[in-house]
Amino acid sequence: MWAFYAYENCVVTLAEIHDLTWETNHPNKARLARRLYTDRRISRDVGDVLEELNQLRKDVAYDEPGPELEDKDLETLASELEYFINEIQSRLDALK
Amino acid sequence: MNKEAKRKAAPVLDALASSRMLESATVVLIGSSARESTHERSDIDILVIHEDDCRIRLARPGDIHLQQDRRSRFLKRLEDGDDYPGWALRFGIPVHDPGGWWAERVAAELETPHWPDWRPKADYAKKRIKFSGELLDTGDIDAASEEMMFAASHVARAVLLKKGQFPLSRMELPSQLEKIAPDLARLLGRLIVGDLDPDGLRTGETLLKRQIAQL
Repeated sequence: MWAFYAYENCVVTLAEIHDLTWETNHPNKARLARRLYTDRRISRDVGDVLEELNQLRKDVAYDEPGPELEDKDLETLASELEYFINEIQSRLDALK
Repeated sequence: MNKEAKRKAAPVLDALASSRMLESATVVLIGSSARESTHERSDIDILVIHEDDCRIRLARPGDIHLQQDRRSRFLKRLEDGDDYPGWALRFGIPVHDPGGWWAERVAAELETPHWPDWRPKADYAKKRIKFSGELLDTGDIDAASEEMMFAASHVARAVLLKKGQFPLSRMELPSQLEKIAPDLARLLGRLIVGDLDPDGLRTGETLLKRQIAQL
């Protein structure tokens, strides 16, 4: 859940930096993530990550965690997220 | 088979076919789509039940909330008083039922229905309330609101089950609750729309905790 919201907020932050409009629903944020990547505004396409984490988050919220959660490598998830946050932070720092 | 349900489940059926799992998998449309009570924030919920010896590793299409289970686990959950399999058997729309396994289960459930246990719902709700409060503290109002919607849905289901009413889909819960828990009905209605401000969410948190204590 925390990783999902953190990725989403990174995507929204990047959209704000580039004056792009964004909508609050999750599929639109995943599409926005893909667009940011294809427009070369970010080094990594996290659209699929957002979709996957959204599914896992909902499984857990309904208290129905499925086999997909067992497969998730949490160490990789945390380190990739940290790298992504740092990239967004550097974009923010560059604005100062 | 219902044509509209089949259309909604088409990406899952395609994924099963390309993974060579279609012959043995049961596919059921569940949730608000099955009840035709969708909202703009609603997902299409699909349940896929695999045979016990099948390895469950089907990719999940982005705009569909896909849940997968094995037959024996699904039936154990039903026996254990989980409302999810009970809901699926009562209201789910079968899209693909090779061998009639699902039809047999539905018939058995009609003959000897299982009544879900409301108590676990209260525990799930407490967890979501905690996360919602923590998200609110970070200033992420949308996320806090969504987590509280999950919490309120769990509380609503617990209240209804305890009163002997089987909870329908989330969109239908406020009307089911109108007479027995009007404050909870109003709160859930507003959380579904997503128009509560931080003060409203704090008030909602108090209301949910009170409702759980009264169960």
